[in-house]
Amino acid sequence: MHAFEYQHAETIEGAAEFLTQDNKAQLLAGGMTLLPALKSSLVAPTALIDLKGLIELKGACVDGDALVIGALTTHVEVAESEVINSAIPALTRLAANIGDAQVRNRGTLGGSLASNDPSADYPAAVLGLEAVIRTNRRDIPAAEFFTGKFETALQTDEIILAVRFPIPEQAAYVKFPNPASHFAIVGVMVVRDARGPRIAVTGASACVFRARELEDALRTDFNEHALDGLKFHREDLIDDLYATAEYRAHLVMAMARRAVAMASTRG
Amino acid sequence: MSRLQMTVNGQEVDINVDDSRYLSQVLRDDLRMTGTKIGCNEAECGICTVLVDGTPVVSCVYPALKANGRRIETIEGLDQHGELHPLQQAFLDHGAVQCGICTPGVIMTAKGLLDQKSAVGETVTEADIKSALKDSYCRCTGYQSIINAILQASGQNVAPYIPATQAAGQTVGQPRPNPNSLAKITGKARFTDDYNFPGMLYARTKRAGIPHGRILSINTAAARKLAGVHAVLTHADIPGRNLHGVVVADWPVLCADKVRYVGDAVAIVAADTPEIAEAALELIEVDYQVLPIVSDVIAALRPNSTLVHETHAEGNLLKHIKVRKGDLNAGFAAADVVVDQTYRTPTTEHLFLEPECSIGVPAGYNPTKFGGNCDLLAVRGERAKHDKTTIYVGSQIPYTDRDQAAAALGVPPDRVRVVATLMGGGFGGKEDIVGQIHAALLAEACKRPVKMLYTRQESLMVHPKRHATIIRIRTGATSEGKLTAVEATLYGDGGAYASLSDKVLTRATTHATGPYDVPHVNVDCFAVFTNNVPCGAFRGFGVTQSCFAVESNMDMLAEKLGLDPVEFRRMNALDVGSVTATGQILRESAGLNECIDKVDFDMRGQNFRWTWDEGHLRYAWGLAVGYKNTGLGGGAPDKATAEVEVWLDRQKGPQAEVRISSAELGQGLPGVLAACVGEELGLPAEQVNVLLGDTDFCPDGGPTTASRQSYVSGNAARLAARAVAAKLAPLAAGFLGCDAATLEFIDGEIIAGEESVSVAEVLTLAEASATSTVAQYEYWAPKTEPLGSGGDMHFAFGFCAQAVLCEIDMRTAEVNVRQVIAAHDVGRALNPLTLEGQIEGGIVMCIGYALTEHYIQEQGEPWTNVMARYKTPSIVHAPKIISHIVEHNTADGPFGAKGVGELPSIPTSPAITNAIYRATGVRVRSLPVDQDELLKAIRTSATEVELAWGDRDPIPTIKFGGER
Ligand SMILES: Cc1cc2nc3c(=O)[nH]c(=O)nc-3n(C[C@H](O)[C@H](O)[C@H](O)COP(=O)(O)OP(=O)(O)OC[C@H]3O[C@@H](n4cnc5c(N)ncnc54)[C@H](O)[C@@H]3O)c2cc1C
Ligand code: FES
Ligand code: FES
Repeated sequence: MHAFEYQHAETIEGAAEFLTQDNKAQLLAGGMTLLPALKSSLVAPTALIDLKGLIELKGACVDGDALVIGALTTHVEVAESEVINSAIPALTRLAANIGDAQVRNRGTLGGSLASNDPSADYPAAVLGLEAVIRTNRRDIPAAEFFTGKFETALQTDEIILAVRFPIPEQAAYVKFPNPASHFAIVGVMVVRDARGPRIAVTGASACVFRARELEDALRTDFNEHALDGLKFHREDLIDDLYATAEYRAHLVMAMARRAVAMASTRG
Repeated sequence: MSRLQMTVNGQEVDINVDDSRYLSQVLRDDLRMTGTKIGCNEAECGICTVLVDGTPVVSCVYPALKANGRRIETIEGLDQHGELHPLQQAFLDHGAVQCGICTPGVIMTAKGLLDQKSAVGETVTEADIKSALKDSYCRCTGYQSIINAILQASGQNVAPYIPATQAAGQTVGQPRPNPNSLAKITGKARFTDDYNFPGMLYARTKRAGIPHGRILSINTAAARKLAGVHAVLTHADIPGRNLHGVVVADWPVLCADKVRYVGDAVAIVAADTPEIAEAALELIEVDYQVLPIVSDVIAALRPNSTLVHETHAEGNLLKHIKVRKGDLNAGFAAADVVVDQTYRTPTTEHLFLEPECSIGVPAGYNPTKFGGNCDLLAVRGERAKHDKTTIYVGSQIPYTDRDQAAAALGVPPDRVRVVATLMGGGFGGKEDIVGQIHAALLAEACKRPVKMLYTRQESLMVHPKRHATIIRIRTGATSEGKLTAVEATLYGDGGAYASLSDKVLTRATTHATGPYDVPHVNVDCFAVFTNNVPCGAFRGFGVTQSCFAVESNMDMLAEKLGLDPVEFRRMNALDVGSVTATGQILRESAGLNECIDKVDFDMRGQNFRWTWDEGHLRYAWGLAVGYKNTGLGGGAPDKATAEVEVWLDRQKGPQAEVRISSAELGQGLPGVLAACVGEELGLPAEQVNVLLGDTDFCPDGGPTTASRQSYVSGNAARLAARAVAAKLAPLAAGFLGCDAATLEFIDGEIIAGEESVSVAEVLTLAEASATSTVAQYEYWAPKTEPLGSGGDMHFAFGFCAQAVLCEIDMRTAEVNVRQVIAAHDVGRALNPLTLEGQIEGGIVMCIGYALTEHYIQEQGEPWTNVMARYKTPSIVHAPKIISHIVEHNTADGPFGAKGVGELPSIPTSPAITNAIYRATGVRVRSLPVDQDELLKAIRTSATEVELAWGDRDPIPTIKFGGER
């Protein structure tokens, strides 16, 4: 078993300071990704800096035309938040379908984004909604944040503080779950606002991406049938034991249709 | 080290802990609160769940220091002042506890949910329960009873689901919780890893890590030098026989010259902590000459194939099994239609939630030497201090374990004692000896107790699995619908060692006609050695595999003949007077037709349609039937000995104890034995204690396999109780002045006509007259004949029919099972509550077989090496199950019972693929169903799918009778 030191972060600056001093230390939020990885020797941090005490990183509020959610807000808190549900109900639904009660009780928005697991749900919402990730250093637009499989634009001593989601007119997220892990084999976020329709896809490729050709099809007619007859194609779709690239391409269409139908009936 | 202050179940805890410890470790190891269990240690299974400030969290990945200042609740704190929490009571009432390893976690998660809902005044729904427990696994119950129990505990009026059965006796036939369930829901139940002995060391095993190689050298010098290491053993250190095996001893205890699969053991280490033992493994150097591997059963039998066992007389052919009946050519000549198809079934994993664990305690062990006391509960009283090598293990076969360990230690069997602890699920996967011998060897080498606990990853890699098979089967029928002939050839992948392959694949072969009267039969089966993980026993014992092929062909034939599939099965069903494929005439107890009728009636209830659409969802029914022998059969002597003792306890009144080595896997055996004994002695089941699996105190009940325990051990217990009753009868007769032969034992009284005397009083008389009140009975099951003799190969068969309602999303090919209607002929329901639990659990396990489970190996390397990759059904897959019990009593079974353990997990998978065919026109020939391939077939209007999820290559073409 790997040994580590356990530290409480008292302030955001303090946490950043730890990271600067020890580049092998890691932030601990819910631990639902980090600790299983640590137990199976995929990572070996010297110290864990628990963010738990930083209550300023928790909670949600509407700020002008955007919804701001703190990085430390757990999935269950998102699932049950009235503020979030009245602003962007697609987010509460997304969070309610992550893992089981134990995972939702501890896993956080910030942890999920920082891990950028190719089959995690939140990245699709963040990219689809064109959210902005606020860190202790800067604001990172979603389009620049997710840089690759398990990789993000975060620096080693950068801490996600909150995510700012512009409130859309309509949005919905639908996933096709892996029967073993319930992670997304394909997850599709559909958004519609003044700037037009957007579709972000998780699970299908090494990193979340926008399906622009589908967006184009929806531009004139935001209706599931506008996608009829379209075939989704992309070079780098994952082809593994869980699903072939071809099946994933098909699922992108099927989930997109479902999400559009759901978004348009919800209004 | 840091200070940790928290409350655990209301008690203040203030200790120093290492920073990198997890809450589960602090609870289990430091505070010795072992109610919280460990199943995976990787945040996958949910069984380690506790509440932190009221919220469920998995304690195996919760840093202990995070709990500082918090309020922890565990299963041990749930019952207050002897009063059970409503959840505990509901789990008991609904039989939602089987092996019990998942129970603490499931109950704590449910408590979190109920508390949260009641705080906001909301009612708990089934959807809430499924969402909360989505990744919390239970391998035994099938979830329906868990859902019902939680609903009941939330204050809703949900009665336990108990199917109707024939009139119950005093104890037999009464639905009641298994006696050990109470301990399991309160966290008191102890599984092997829950035992701790003063001075105990921790062991780990050095595995081959490659599927085939010659060992050139093993160097353990560096590992031995590591501080904290007490012993490193290799083949050279084994005092006795360096082989084991349940049927044939071909499996090295520690490999000497070559390794045959990735999980082979090369060296074992005992150290002060598991971490040190783990570190020592890294220091052991083994040089191999890597050998080519065989992983394909057909290639393995070709003349120039690499050999897994160079000295095996028939090369890689482990066994060729044959069934011959009638004249095959005549049979097919009489057929008007013939279906000839090839199927494939996957290797699958038991995934019992308790990983294997054994503790070896050396002969002469004295805990006071290590500053501790004797764990009297562990040794069962003063009489039995550790005077011989003792092994604590959750084993399916304690006596065989004892004999095998003794052989390796080089001592006579009576110098070893096996104490069977509770088992967190077995399903056949704990029949082969695993760490038992290693723990015993290390204990004797170090003269200290040694615990050998497998990690989940190790468990996945090491123990024998269910055989992958390729089955070609040709079935002929007349235009009226009478079956005329079946020809089949099976290849079974036995993996690297013999294990139970011979027996399992014999069962696959003899059951390859299905439960039908077929006059002309020719079946060949080839059990084959490969460098894959060995295969052995798994609930269904080979019949699960052949049933898939048989029942697929049956639906195809029905379609060709234009017959209703149910009617077609009825026309051919085995009945009293029929002759099985092996030539056995069924003389009694063949309730298949009644099973079919019951299922058919329910299925065709209101507005019946075979298939219909709701939007893009298509629904369809599918049906299949199955049968399975009870008992070892095939001429193997099948016996069990039980001991029953009664005495008078001044406070509690008359008490009985039944002792037998048979194993409780969570299937409910103690309840069955208590009922059998109680019925004979006229005592309530609560007054019958059941002591299982201690080779020093329990006579041999034989292996817990082949659904034989209710029948064989049930009879032994019942007849031992009757022998005790016969000892009491003269005393009672003397007292009452009547003939001892006329006495009846009812409700604590011994009755002769109008007169009666209490059992308590008679026991006082017995004590005064020093009359013995203990008896042993050695029960021999009816004799069976070997395969090929045409005689009675088995003394009883269970039968069943199942209909499933599948929902198929026509846009994605997602398949869900929404409802199952089942009927099982079990002879007699000895305990309808635990019986229903077996049925529901078996069905859901077989849904996994059909839809999700595949133990994938690539060139001998398991890909499914972590729990997150092995897809067992979770609560979201749980269908609604409607169950009928059919009771065609068998003359020799206890109170007419036959046995049920395996039956439910036999026909579900073909019922599902038959439904898929009806919905989509696509015949699935390979399991588990691959949604990807199915969708492709639907969209291209193909009529079949031959690649399962995880398959890369098409099903090979095989010749009837094999290549040779
Ligand atoms: C059984 C199971 C099922 C799951 N199912 C799903 C699912 O269906 N869908 C899904 O999307 N996810 C799923 N997850 C993952 C889950 O959502 C994780 O909780 C989440 O991805 C990580 O969040 P965390 O708070 O636990 O992060 P942690 O594990 O604590 O941290 C993860 C990484 O993020 C870093 N980090 C954490 N917080 C910050 C921050 N504020 N700033 C910068 N870096 C930070 C950490 O240093 C670490 O490297 C599942 C997990 C499990 C165990
Ligand atoms: S989730 Fe903790 S032991 Fe499985
Ligand atoms: S009772 Fe749930 S795993 Fe055995």
